[in-house]
Amino acid sequence: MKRFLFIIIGMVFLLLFSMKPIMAIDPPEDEASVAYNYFSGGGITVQGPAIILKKEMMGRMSIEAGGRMDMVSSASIDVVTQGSKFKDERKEIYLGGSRIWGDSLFSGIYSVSDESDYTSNTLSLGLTHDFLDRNVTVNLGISRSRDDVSSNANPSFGEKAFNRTAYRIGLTQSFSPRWLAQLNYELTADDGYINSPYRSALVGSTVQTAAQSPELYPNARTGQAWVIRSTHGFLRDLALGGGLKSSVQVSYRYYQDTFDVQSHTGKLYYQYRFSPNKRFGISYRYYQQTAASFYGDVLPSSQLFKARDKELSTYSSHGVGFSFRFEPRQKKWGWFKNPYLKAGYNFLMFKYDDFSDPRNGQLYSWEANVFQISLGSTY
Amino acid sequence: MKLKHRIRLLALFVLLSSLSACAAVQPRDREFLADEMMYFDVDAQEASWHLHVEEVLEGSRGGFSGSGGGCGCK
Repeated sequence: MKRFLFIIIGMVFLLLFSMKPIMAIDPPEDEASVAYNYFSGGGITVQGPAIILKKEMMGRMSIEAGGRMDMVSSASIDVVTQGSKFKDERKEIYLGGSRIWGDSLFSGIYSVSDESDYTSNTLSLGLTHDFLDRNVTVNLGISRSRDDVSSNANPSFGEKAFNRTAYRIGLTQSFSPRWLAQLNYELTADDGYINSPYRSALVGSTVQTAAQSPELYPNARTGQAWVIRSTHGFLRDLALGGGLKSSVQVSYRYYQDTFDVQSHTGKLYYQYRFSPNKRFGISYRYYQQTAASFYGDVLPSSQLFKARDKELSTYSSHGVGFSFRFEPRQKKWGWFKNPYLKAGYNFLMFKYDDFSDPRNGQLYSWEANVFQISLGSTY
Repeated sequence: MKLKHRIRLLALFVLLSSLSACAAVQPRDREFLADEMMYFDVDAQEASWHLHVEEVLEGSRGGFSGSGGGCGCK
């Protein structure tokens, strides 16, 4: 039934892309940007470049292509207590397009990612429609991923399939000339090989004396996420040039799934414009979740489903971020127009309530540094 | 249907049914809403990177936007 629905929606999009438009939404600008991403924490380092290219066509269509390479070096707690350090590369490329039709925007993206033991193919389709003088915007989306999981440690493992389908609906409302709010709902349905082919659960009485037993998860998982977020802008004095001086964004997400994981995510983001070409941002993010029903620091051997993935345990995290954006006063540099430089840094702290370090028996905690610098322009 | 689900659906219905009364911003007054500082995801590169990091490190997913699979995390 889901496959049938997916094919029907795909055919509708193809049909709409071939019809003549009545313009109301502004087409996206031609834009190019390159970025360097860096993550370090918990024994894991991920770094690499990313690129995005957007090209507007005939005033009503645009195409977008991009890619990212992640160079991974891992000595995470799972790796050092159950395996050995490794290095890997993950490459992701995508190609997408969008088409304006009156007050609607139709979009589609196909992405492929590949690493030594994991490949993923994802098709996403989206529809955005404005109502009531563009005061209300409705977003609909569907995406389908088909992944193949293999094991570098065990060639006889072969390839096992993991599928994910996501359905999204969102509603954005303008409440005033400087106040926007958005409500989103997303349903994700996973099936296939969900657990890691490497990680083991611990079976016994204490983490330091327990025996390792391969993890086993149920082969289906359905999750639901509800998000509400709001942005409010603040004006600069007309004597100082007018325009928006700053903005505050707050967001909250509630999530629950059939593994019995429930989580709450809250974020506060403040931006301040020092001058027309310099902008600073600061953010705070809080996350906390409950454990999956079959998760255990140590489990009885009689339990069928077993997990010792710290991402399925009970824990909370705090994140503090800073960002800066700069646009040179010179707006044209040859082919490039309106160039910008942007840098962002986030410090993350994780503290687990029921995940212990087998090396010392203590509850585990760790910190991470996340950095990104990007350079872009229109052309 | 559980009571919590009913309450959520009711809240969504009340919100949707009140929208027509909220169309207060005229097209000529949309200048500030078009400012990048009002966007929910200002930068696609940044949003994609942070979403990827969060999905790898957390047991929850979804609600903010779509993203591809794969993780580079094991």
